Amino acid sequence: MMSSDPDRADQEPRVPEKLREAMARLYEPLTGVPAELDSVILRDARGSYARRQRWSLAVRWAGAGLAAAAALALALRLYIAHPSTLRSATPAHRQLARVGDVDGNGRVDILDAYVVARAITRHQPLDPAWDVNGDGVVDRKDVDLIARRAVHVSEGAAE
Amino acid sequence: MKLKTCRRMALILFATLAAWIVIGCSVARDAAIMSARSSNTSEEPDLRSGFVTPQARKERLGSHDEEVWVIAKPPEERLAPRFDEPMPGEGQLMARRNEAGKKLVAVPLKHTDVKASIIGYIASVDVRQQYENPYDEKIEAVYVFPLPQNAAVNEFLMTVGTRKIRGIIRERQEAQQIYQQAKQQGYVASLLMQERPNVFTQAVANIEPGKRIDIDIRYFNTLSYVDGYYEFVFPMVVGPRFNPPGFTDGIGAVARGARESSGQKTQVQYLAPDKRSGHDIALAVQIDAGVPIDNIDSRNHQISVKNLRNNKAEVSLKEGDRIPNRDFVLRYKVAGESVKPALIAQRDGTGGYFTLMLLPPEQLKHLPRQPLEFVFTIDVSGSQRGQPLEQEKAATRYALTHMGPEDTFQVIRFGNTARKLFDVPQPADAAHVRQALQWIDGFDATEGTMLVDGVRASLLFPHDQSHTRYVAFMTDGYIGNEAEALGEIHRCLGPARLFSFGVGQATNRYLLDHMAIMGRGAAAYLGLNDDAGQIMGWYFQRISHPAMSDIAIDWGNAKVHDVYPRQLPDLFVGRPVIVTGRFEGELPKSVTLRAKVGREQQQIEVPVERADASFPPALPAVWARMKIADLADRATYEPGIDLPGQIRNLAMEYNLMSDYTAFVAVDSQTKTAGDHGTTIAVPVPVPEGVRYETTVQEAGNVQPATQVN
Amino acid sequence: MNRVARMFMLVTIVLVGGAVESRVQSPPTLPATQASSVRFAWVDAVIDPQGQPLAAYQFELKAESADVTLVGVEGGEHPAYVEPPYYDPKANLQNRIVIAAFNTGEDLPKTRTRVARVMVRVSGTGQPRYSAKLDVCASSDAKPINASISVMEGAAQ
Repeated sequence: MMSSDPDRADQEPRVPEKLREAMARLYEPLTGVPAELDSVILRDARGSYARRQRWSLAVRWAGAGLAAAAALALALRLYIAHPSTLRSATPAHRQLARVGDVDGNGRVDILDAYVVARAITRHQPLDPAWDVNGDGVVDRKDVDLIARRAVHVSEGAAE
Repeated sequence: MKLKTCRRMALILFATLAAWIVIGCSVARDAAIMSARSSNTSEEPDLRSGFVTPQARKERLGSHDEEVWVIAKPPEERLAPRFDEPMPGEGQLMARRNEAGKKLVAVPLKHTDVKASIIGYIASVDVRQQYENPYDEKIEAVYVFPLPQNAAVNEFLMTVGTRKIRGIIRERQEAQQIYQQAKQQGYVASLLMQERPNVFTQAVANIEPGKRIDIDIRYFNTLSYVDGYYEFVFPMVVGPRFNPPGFTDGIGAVARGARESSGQKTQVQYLAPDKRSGHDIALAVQIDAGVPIDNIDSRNHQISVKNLRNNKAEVSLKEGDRIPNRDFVLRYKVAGESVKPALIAQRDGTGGYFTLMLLPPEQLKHLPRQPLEFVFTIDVSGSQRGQPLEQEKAATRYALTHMGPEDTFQVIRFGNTARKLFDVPQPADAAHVRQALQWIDGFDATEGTMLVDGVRASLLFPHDQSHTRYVAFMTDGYIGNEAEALGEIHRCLGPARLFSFGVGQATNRYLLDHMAIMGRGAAAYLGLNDDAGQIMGWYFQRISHPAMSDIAIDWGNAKVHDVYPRQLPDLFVGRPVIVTGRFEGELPKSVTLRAKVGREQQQIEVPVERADASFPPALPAVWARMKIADLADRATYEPGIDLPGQIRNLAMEYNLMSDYTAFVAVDSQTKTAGDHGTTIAVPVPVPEGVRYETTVQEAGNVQPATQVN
Repeated sequence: MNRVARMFMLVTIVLVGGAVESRVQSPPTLPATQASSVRFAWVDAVIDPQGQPLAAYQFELKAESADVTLVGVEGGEHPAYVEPPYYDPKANLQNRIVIAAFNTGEDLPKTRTRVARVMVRVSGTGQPRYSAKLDVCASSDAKPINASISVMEGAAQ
């Protein structure tokens, strides 16, 4: 190429005209991509991406929906099987624990058994609620039942 | 240079010598350990029998690699002497004879004390076994004994001197391991295991000379109501069992002190007829029936009865009748025409439990029965020789002469094999009855007890559709393969019904009751002092009216679940059925029975009364025990299911003995000197009426089990 | 070093090496029940009711080690508590066991007293630690007592 620097131009070798034209042809600027083609390709790519995104969202929503349905089914099943348990605000094990909780401190312990035993021994009035075995009588068997309940542990786990 | 070399050589030699010393010590120690190990573990000790068995109980462990048995003495040091030789230190005792002229032998079980309390139809029973060492060496005592087959054992106490130690319940293997370790280290320890629902082994380790250890066991069970009577049974001795050839999971019967093993997992030693142990039994029963009591009696024992007011009575064994060689059977009637369906309920922290005695409706008594195909199956094994066989013949004669004109019948005898009288059942006419009577007159009892063959012969022949087959199966139940027999009944029963008759003074009630359950019939017992005609007469009365079969209970609005038995037996006149279950909320005042009566479907409402009495905390244990029994029955015909796991978990939750759980107690404070001492099995008498010679394995005796026709 | 000495040393090294290896790979073993050191002991639970009559108690006992097994429970030293106390026979020390008893009589302990003795089996060589928590301690009028509980292990000689 012709240098614009006059000093430099004197130092460059002179290129034959034909060679110059051939080189110019080699270095012709590329033809630009038509704008329409560009937009078609981009539109297509965006569409494909959007489809994938929609599918992914759909799968997630379907999964969540299934999980919710399963949870609802389980809850319904439990409700049908044990309505009182679920309706009650108090968990089942705490309800059971109150059977024998003579002093009302929220748990069954040996003091509950002692209170009943002492009342029996001293011929004091007996509260019908102390009939924990439901046989219509407050006696030593109820004391025994309360005491055993006080020391009971579930197998393999503390209560 | 030479000095340097010498020093070097010396150093090397010294190091080499030191190395040789180390090697030598190591080898010597290893050799000592291996020697001790091989001499002590050549055979696993058998804590039941007093000597070593060649077969370990590895199948109980579930793993053949698991080591449970600790090192024990070499067999020759641990064997008990022969039965006619004195045990350690008992020489002076051997010279004594009792008033019957029998030689007294010293045994480590001195006395058993039984105290029962019956309220309604539930019994709470405390059994105290007093072990005392009469020898001059330390011993381990091992005792195989019976309890009622529906006993819910849930308490265990060991008393050492004045100190009481409450035991723990664990999985069977773990309990055995604890016991063995304690025993080996010299501690006083005790272990209670179940071999069958009605057979238990009690082991007490490290009893020093002259010392006494008491074991207290408590159980609950329900009484049966039979032909108008409540019946309380306390078995006292395990009868000698027959085990089919090749069967090793049975109960062996050997002479006292026998060196040879029977090859069975469990083994009982029996006293020769001319010997008697000092072990005696005291028994007292308190009855609170809730209604006036009539007519208390005991067929096998002399009793004294004290009738108290308020519907109570006290019964006790008389002083002179305390030899434990037959079942204690107490029967009493309550006033009034009949009992009413009674419901007993109890609540605890885990919910509600109930038992209900279900009676057949009155209407059944007015309906005639259909023609039947009777099958009379008679056990002619060696244990029936003598009086028991005579009772069987008497009962069969009565039955043969009381059939209806449209009935047909067959007679089968079984011993080593089963044989039928007729090719096919014949009409119950005079000629055929005469033929049958002649045949049974010629029976003798000398054979083995292939009871399974008897079951198959009774059930697996062509069935006449116009007649329902009723099998009357007479036996003492002295077999070791009960599970196989029960499974076979379940498999072969079809539309037939099987009624078991336990003949003898100490029958295998577990087997007989469950044969009736599997056979959807009922069990009856014919002791040697019973009137065979009367017992068979009640049977005919029972079956002379149709039963209610295929019963389903409609509990109405009551929230009831987990009811056992799952398959309700047929309801016969005079034979109520006890069911047990769980409930929430209120209990019903009546239940509806839907069942087949004859060939018709019927629906009957049955009012129930709440029993007005107080009970010990027994119902949860009774319910759990019945569930375990139901699971165990299922295991005989559903082998693929993990029923052992379910039984174990249930037994642990309710602190119950079972095949898979055991009680153990260790007194860590009492460590005795020396090793664990000699194991002495407590020998027992053969049940009354059973011949020692034909049932007990002794050197030189020909075993019925080896005779195969 | 001469040849003989070298050979001798070589043989020694081989043998020592073999002995060491054999002990490492397959040491002679006792059956498991003897190889591990298993011992039996007891744990005493002692309550000091501070001069008040001890009418009822309940405590939890736990073993900090996994190798402690409960093998029995005995009562206390005072006649009022000599009977074995209430406890759950299937309970184990790894979770906790709850032990309790009461007496409605007049003769009750007022000073430091052993109320229960728990029999244990200890596996392994370590010394287990026990912890106890006193849940209930009441006098004869059912009022709480400000008492303390201590536990200590003992073993037969």
